[in-house]
Amino acid sequence: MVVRLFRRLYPYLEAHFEVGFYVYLWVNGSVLAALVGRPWLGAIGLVTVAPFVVAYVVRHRRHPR
Amino acid sequence: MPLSTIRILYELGIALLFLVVAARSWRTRGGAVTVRELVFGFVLSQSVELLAVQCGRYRYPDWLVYFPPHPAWVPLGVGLGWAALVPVVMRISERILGEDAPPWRLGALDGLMAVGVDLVLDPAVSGEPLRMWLWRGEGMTPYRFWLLDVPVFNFVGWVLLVGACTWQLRVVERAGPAAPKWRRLAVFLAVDLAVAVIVMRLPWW
Repeated sequence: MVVRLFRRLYPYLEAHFEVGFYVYLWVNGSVLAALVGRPWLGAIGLVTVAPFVVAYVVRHRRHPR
Repeated sequence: MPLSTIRILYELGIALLFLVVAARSWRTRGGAVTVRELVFGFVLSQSVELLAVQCGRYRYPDWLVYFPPHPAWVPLGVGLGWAALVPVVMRISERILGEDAPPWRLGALDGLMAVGVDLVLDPAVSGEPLRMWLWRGEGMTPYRFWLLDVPVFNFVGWVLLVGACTWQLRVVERAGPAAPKWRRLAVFLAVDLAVAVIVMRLPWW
């Protein structure tokens, strides 16, 4: 099941590796924050990370490569 | 999960992420550009980190691998982490603003994106309880301005360092195939380190 999911996701990961990596850093930081007892830190990314991701998605939809 | 295990996984994770980014960049952009971006990102960040630790800005206790090993001031993973982040934010901002956008605009966006993710990461891993790096201690800089229990100096540094690094890389790459790219990067590195020395000695941070 994991392999099948990965195969389905792979084209997207391949096409959008960098923004996926950027979101991963946010998720990773949020998990670490939760592990050390500061789960609210992850929500900061809604203001500091998410706008860049949204800008990327909007730009990609207007000008797909 | 014990904190010591989280620390080890964090350090190993950075090295793994660096390898993933390096492989991806090599495959999509070629070896020469990849090596320039990663080497310049690593050397610049590791050098600035060494300066910062020497100036008492922060310290990195109890990591597995330091570079250089003596004095054991800055972990290898710190430079690798910076170097991995550089091509990632560069490619995202090029997709947002367009590859032909002015380097200073792209660099500014790179710096803002880098500090955006650092605002989540840094407060989680620095200071207590994880102690990947410490801002307070005997003989260290008494910071005046703090945000999320991290000195504002750190976030300003992220914007400036990442922005300058990516702006310089783009200026060099756009200079044409015949330009002496490594020599120009070396000049940029020298200028960056001189600026970093001045900024770190400013008393009002």
